[in-house]
Amino acid sequence: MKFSMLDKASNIVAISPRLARRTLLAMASSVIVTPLLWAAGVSVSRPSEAFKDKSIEDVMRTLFGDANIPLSDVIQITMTDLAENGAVVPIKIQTKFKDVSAISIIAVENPIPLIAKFSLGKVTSGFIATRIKLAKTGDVVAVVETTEGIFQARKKIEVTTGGCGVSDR
Amino acid sequence: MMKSIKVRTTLKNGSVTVRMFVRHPMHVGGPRKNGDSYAPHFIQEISCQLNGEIVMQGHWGPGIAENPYLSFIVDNAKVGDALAFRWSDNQGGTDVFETKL
Repeated sequence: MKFSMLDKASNIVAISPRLARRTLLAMASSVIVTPLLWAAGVSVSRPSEAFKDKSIEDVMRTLFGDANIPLSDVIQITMTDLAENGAVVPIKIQTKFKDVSAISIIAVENPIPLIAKFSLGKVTSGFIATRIKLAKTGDVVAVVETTEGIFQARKKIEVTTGGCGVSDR
Repeated sequence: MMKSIKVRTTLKNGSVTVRMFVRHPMHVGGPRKNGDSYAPHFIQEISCQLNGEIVMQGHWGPGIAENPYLSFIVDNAKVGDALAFRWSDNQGGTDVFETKL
């Protein structure tokens, strides 16, 4: 038994130069590839189809498939309950989830429901603050993609004057 | 073209809060009150690089308000790090801004 194991071991040694060259090549290519990937950071192509969708259900399906996205208390949408001017509504989305890869903002009643999708790098916190337009009273949905899964939070906003109507300009 | 990006950064305990102001009309497109129409004109993509690595990339529709404001937090930042910002809109317009912490 012992002898045969030794024999096998010597076999491995015998083919090792070739193996070594292969592993070396593989290692070399991985060394070349990794910094390139790292240098690129996050780079996601535009979800063009989702921007064409006219309803929240379609947007959700285009972006996340048929998955049922659970509501989460860990996602906090900070914004006014009553927006007098729908053209400029400040919104802040915060989450304590680690490794947030993307935050999407969707306004249910807007003609183009998907407002924005932010892809975040590993060193970027789960935090986004911006200003959005709201057409009329309805839910604002924040969808957070993490390594633990996809979660959402909703908040109903009353809008006095819509921000997507006929322009004065 | 006039500089369209203004950035304020606050570095605290190794994480930087970036506040970004962009001058852009962000038009939805559609009818005017006088009957004619105007074309959509909005930022489609906006990104921030920290030392050459993209740490934030936003795909926008016209639902972001005029003269967009955006704030986000990047951890693992230190004095001397390079930040680069870039946006591009649906009419081919683009602008970049670079700064150091």
